[in-house]
Amino acid sequence: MESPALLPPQDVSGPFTPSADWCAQAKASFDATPPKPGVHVETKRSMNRGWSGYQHKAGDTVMSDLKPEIGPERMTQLLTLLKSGPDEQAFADLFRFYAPRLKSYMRKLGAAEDMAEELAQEAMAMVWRKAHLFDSAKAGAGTWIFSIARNLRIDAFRRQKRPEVELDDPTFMPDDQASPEAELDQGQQARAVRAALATLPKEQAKIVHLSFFEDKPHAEIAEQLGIPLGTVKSRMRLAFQRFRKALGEPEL
Amino acid sequence: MITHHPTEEFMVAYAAGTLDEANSLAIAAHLTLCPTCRDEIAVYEALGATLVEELPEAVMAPQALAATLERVRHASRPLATVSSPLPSRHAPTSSIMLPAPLRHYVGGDIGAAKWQVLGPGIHHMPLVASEGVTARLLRIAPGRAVFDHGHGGLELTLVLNGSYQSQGKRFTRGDLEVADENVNHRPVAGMEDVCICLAVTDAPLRFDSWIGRLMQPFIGI
Repeated sequence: MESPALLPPQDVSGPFTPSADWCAQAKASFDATPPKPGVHVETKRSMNRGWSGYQHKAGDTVMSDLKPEIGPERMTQLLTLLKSGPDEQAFADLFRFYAPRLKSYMRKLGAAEDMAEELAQEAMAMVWRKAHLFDSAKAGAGTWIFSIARNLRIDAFRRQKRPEVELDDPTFMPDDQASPEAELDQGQQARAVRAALATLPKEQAKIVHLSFFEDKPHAEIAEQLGIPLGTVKSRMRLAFQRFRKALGEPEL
Repeated sequence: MITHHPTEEFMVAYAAGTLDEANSLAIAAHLTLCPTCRDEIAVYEALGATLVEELPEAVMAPQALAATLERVRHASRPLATVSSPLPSRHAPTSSIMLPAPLRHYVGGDIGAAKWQVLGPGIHHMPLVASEGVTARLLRIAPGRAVFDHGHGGLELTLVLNGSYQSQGKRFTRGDLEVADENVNHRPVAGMEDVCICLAVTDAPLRFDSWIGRLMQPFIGI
């Protein structure tokens, strides 16, 4: 549910084109039998009118000026606009998609309502302030925004420093030439991750969620699920192998 | 050539932001030296982003967007950089030993380390202790053997200079050993140089941990 405050004026005189769903697209592109053309795949996101799926009013040029793409490329495009200048409309579009989800993320990791609201707003404010540092060759918009929110949470909530790699560090060992992963662009990478997630066995998906949304050691996760620690670890290993494989990473 | 890497457990927790500070320090230092693991972290961060994107939307406060714009509207912002400085394609030739995340804790490169004697030929410098986990630098004289020890929990050791041999394997700069309670090893520093590593262990010091056993005769624990 989007907050009414975030929606543009409810003038529905203009055409409303429901966005196709990136998730559905990703699944379709990985399915042997893609959905028939014209069949709208109903998902939670499309019902929520996620991505840019809010209603436009006539003459609202901002969203329709851009290509009707949705999904990771769209978000990266918006962030790139924000990088090149203080584009409040691009920011508003990013905010409508990410702020409510970042708030959910903070809530899931134990932040109270007020704290989650504050952290979501502050994370988005940091997206604005740091937009000049965004490099679409290195990460998609989603990954970049996630890492900002994650670090903000560590600062605010765990009251710890976050040791981070620094690119201009003289000891930084440069990338190997032409790693296979570099062949996938960021949009393809996001889709591959999404597709791998969609096909994960349920018990592995559960462990993946807990790994990101529970600030707990694996021993406690095992206890919570009532399964042995070894099982948690082996499910994790299987799940994360699948992601690395989907992205063309070598087996370690 | 780095041949020993952190396990998924540590990598995923680092990407998720749920890893304690001491272990995060070891992972960040390893990532600085290991492009292979940086690629892997990128996968897990993309996964984290996807999971967040799939969360149901929370209801934001009324006027949340306006309030956030108000926070940033008057703040001056640096202009977009034309391109961020790309790291050189060549292996670093700098004489700096410690990766940047470590230099922040040491207060400079290895020369700034304030060593305390831990045993004959062995020095340490504690860097961070949080959530019951301690990270410290260790300096072991060439050829010096550390007697057999088991582990209470997981112990990470990242080699920064020189090498050590353990369980028939050699660990050199950038290698990160993950030893669990089943590993009972007797690391021996290589003869070629002083061995400097970052060791992350459970704290308070355990009777059966490497560091704990080393310190036992000195501090009487």
